[in-house]
Amino acid sequence: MSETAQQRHVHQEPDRDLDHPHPETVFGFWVYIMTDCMIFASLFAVFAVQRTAYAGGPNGHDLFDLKSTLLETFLLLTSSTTCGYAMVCLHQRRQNLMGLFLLLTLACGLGFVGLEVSEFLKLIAENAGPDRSAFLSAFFILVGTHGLHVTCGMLWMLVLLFDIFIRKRGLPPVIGRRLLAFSLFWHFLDIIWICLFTFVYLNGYLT
Amino acid sequence: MAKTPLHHEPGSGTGEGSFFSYSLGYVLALLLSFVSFGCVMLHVIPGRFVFIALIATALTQVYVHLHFYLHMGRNSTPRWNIIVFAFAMIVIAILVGGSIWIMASANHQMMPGYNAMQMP
Repeated sequence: MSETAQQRHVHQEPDRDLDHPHPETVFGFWVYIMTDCMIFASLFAVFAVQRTAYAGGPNGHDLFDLKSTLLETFLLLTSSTTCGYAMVCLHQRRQNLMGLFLLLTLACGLGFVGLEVSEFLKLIAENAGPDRSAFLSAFFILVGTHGLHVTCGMLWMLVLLFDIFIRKRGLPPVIGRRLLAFSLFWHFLDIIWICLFTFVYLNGYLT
Repeated sequence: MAKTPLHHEPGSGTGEGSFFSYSLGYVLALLLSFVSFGCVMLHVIPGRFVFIALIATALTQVYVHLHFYLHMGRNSTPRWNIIVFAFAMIVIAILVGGSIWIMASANHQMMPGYNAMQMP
């Protein structure tokens, strides 16, 4: 009996308010992010091991267009910052400005994924697809997994925007928790991208 | 007067920050990114130092992100979040460092002529 009562207590415990979501929820999401980090770490390890396995194919210096990578970096950094601005607006209860910053975040994310998809298509058209060499397989799976995460993040953001503005739910405490989790996820993807452009693109370009 | 004061309450999660702190983080992150790309694209420093410079800027930039975007700090982040983070970093160091070490060693052992050289 006491167990069910305790369960009900856990399930019904509300977020304290918009600015202070229930800390256990934030902790749980943080643990998820750390496990995601380990997925990326194993893909980075694969790439590190296969980074010179060209199988007679092209290497990073032949393939990478660093200007495009720099633009991608700029877009992702900007989107992380606008996401942070949106969190500040949330704490200040400026709902419309927050929506605007989230839309900017979405636009930068779209630009990033667009650049990445066009890069992938270009590589495949140059006969440098994931089937060309172990180096390119590792490259596609590592960068592709990051791109997939960014795409999922954008879908998540669309759902949040839909909830707040189309369904006109406004800013109940649960939205504060979801936005906090989303911003953690988005900043985390930016950190992964720093490692990506350093160890994959820039270091690959040097070889 | 601000509608809601931003207070730094221990254990409140990782939601604090202001327009200024995010902007400062943005400027620092952009600068560090430009340094990284500049090292490789402009050939300003000799080749063998570039990799060291890249690692140094990348680590600094990760720190900038953790500090300004994720607001990790001794006082603002719950203790368990830090413990999980430290555990993840240890696992990642073992996973990535170990893989590189083992495979480099395996490649070294498989070099043609290695066994012949070892034989008496």
